[in-house]
Amino acid sequence: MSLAQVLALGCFWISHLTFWITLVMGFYTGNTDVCLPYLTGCTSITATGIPDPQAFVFRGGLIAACVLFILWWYAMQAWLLQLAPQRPIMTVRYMVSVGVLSSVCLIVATAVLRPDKANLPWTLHTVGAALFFLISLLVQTRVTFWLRQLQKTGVDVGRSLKFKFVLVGKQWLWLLVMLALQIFGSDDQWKNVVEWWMALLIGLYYLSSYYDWQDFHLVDHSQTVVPPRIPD
Amino acid sequence: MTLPQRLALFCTLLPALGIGLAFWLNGQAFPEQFCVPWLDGCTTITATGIYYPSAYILRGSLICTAMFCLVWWYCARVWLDSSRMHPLKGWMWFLIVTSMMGSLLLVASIAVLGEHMLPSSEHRFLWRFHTITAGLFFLLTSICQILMTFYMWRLREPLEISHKQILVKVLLAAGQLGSLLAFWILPETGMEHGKVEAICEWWLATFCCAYFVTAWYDWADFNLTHPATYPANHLASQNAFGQEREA
Repeated sequence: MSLAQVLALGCFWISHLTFWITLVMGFYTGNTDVCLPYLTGCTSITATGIPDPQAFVFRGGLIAACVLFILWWYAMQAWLLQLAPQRPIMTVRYMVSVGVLSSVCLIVATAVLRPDKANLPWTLHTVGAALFFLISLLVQTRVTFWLRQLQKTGVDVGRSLKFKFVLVGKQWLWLLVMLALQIFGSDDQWKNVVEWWMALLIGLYYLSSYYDWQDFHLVDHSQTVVPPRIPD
Repeated sequence: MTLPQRLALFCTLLPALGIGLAFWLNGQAFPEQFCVPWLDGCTTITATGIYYPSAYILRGSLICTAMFCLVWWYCARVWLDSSRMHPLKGWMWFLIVTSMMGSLLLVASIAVLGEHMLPSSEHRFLWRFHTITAGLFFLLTSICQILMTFYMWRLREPLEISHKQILVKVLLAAGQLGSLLAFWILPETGMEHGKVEAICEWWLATFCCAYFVTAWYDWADFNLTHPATYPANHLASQNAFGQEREA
């Protein structure tokens, strides 16, 4: 398995295992009613990470996942540059920097969580989390469209492009639902449902590169000659 | 700059900035406690991350650092393996896995930090958990870096590491060994135990962090590579030895 594949797997599994473990811990400690938040919106992602001891798992897991998101974007940059070296480099760098920025927003939003809700800097948390969702969606959309453009020119961009389109399309749909809920002043319950699905779709987008990056290895280019083996 | 080079930079700069900023914020809140911890041992790294808002900064930066270190070790394994001169022995594999575990222990150690640990007499379990995991992180990382230096010393010619580069690694490894030894020896000489611990902790953390950036020079041509741009010898080496570069 290549480093890039490890990143794709880690981005999804570390972030989502963190959500699911903290949710189950919440059921166990009685902080959350037993439910399926993807359907009922009984709790928000944030709420699962506020009380101790879930907060320890949530903080450690989600910030760790954010680091993998950052590295995933760097891997994506390297991949895109090598796929299409004729493209202007600044465009790629701009996209990747924005992708990294979205992860940093989530790191800030997670790091400020604390058990005493009254003193929690809610504005910083909410803005950080919202920017993560919004910027991730914008950058993922841009990358997906660029990949399609490359595919049209005959470049092999991997097998996941269709899946990426589906994921991005669904995210936009959920965003529109969220806007409608905000406009009509809906209950938090339905906003929670949107939040859980958006997080799942963003995570799946990172995971979707797993098959594309099968042969995307770390290689030391300085070794131009294959040296003979030394006996152990 | 290649991805492994960025990792090397992040592993050093991020903890330096995070701890520095947290320490400065603490200094603003408690001006009477301001000091040079490398010399005075007046405070520990943990103590800079207990009170908010410095706890937010320390928490965010050190958990990120731990993950960057974990991926750094992964890259180190692939890089050493790619030398093709000396296939990784069991102990080297064990070394890398141990160091990765050390990084995960740092995540666990920092995730529990915050004002909720006060008063310490009521949260003994959390303090014990933090102390043990942080201690193990330092111990495992230092031992792994010292052993890696030894391993690289043996491979300095095939890996084309210059004398200056390996010398820096050796000095940092020696510094870590010295800090670890001082941790046990100095209290025996009658020095105040808490202060010695704190001074050793700051020096050990500095040497550990600085060690990661020494790979920056080694990894200038070490990058994620699309099959279409593999160097010719990569495929040749795979054919010759019938091995993949990454497990």
